[in-house]
Amino acid sequence: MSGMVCQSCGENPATFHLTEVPEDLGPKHPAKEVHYCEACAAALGLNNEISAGSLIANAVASVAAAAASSQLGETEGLHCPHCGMTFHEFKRKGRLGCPRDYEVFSTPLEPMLQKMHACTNPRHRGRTPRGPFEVRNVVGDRLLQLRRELQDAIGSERYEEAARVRDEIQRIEHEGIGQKGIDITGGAGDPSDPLGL
Amino acid sequence: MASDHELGLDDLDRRGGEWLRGGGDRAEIVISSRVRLARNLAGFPFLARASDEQRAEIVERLKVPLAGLPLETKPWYVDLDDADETLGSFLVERHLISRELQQGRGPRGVAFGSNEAISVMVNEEDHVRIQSIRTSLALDDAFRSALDVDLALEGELDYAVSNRFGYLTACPTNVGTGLRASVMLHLPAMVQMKQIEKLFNAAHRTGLAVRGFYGEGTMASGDLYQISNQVTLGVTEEEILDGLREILPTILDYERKCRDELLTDRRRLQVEDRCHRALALLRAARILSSDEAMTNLSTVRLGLVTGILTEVDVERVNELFVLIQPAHIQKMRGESIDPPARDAVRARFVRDNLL
Repeated sequence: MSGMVCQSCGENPATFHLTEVPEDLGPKHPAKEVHYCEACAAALGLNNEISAGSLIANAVASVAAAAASSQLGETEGLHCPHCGMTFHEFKRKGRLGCPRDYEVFSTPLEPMLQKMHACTNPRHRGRTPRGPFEVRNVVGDRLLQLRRELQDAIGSERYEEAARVRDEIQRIEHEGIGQKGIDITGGAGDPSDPLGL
Repeated sequence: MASDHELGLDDLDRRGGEWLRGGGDRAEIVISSRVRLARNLAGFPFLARASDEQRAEIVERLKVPLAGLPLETKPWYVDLDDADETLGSFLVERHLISRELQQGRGPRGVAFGSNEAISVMVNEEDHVRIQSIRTSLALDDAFRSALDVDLALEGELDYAVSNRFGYLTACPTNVGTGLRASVMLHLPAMVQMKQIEKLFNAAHRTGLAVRGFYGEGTMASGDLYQISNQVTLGVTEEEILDGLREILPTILDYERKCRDELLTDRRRLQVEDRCHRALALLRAARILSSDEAMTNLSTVRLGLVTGILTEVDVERVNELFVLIQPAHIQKMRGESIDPPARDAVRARFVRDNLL
């Protein structure tokens, strides 16, 4: 099996192999074995499953995906400024690097989400945290960026800058973001600057 | 490193978690119901991009909220970065943690209460994985108590969430609700009647996944199968639970019909023979591998729930599915022992428990 290339993206080494064939496959799709890389297997909902049957509906869809992947070529180089993850790396590893990746990679992720979650317009319909979570997440994004800067500064031995960034992170957190404890919807704080930004 | 005694874990190798207790709804087939919620903290990268310092910071942030969880006892926290391999395997065998957490790297751990109904993994694939397990068919209970833990943590921490994608997870297969619900089924009659394909077909028709006793990537051992939802985005939590509940009657019906078929005049003597032999083997063996134990425990369990056998508690058999696993046997001995020695200890333990 080694040396085989993923038949969905045609690029990454195939690490996921299935040999089961469903009854309804028919002579038009006689493939007895399928080979995917981890990201494409995840996209098809196949990784970590004993399951084989759901593969087939998806395998047909993967033909369409393969056609779409020429467009994906342009998005391969997409790069998240918050965590450094590239779309190419995500496809290889099957894991995203930070919460921001969902927005940064939204264009190429969309068809994958549609397949994984079996719907044409995958939007969240379940519960969400109480309170203004989106506002708090803006602060979360700022912290994400600062933590990245901190790592970079330490990595390149710019310790003065690292100390400054660390202070900034602590200041934001001390003012009650990232860890709750302050009522950011109003109350004791400055109402014109509830987030302490 | 804290010893097992300090951790309060030293008597766990003799008893199973409460979810193995049985006796509830559809307990003759449904061993347990499980719900897990995947969550990540806002302001931190996912683990693929988190440094060890950041992983340690995430653990630190969670320690206080986890210590305050409203569980039946003060939660235990096991630091997996510092735990020996046997303890990690032991927790995997008890379904308290995943193989992925055990084999991970860097600061990570698990918190759980003494009845093992709730466990919270820190720095597995996501920063937080809340798991709730109940015995037999009790998906609502399992979901409600997972949600209680979720709400308690949400009161102390900010999760990464968006309006469009819901709870943001490291793998897009979990995004949205972050909810994976599953039931563990004992399907020995379908296996014996070579009808287990029906389980796979029914599951696939409705977009559910089938896994073995130890979850992802494991084969079914002891005729135990888990079915779970795959879709987590674009559906509500209730719809996910409903999807699982809706398919269950079909599968339970298949298994019941197969059990009835096994008890018809034509086959009954053979099945009785097989069940009695399985119990006799477990009561007599001096060397017992975990595979052989699982196979025969499954047959004994079939005998018990169909009334062919009466002299053992089903609960004890449920527990033995977990207690005979390799790390449990080693922990019982208090030392690392090689597989042949383990098989002898296992045989004695099973004998003692089934007499």
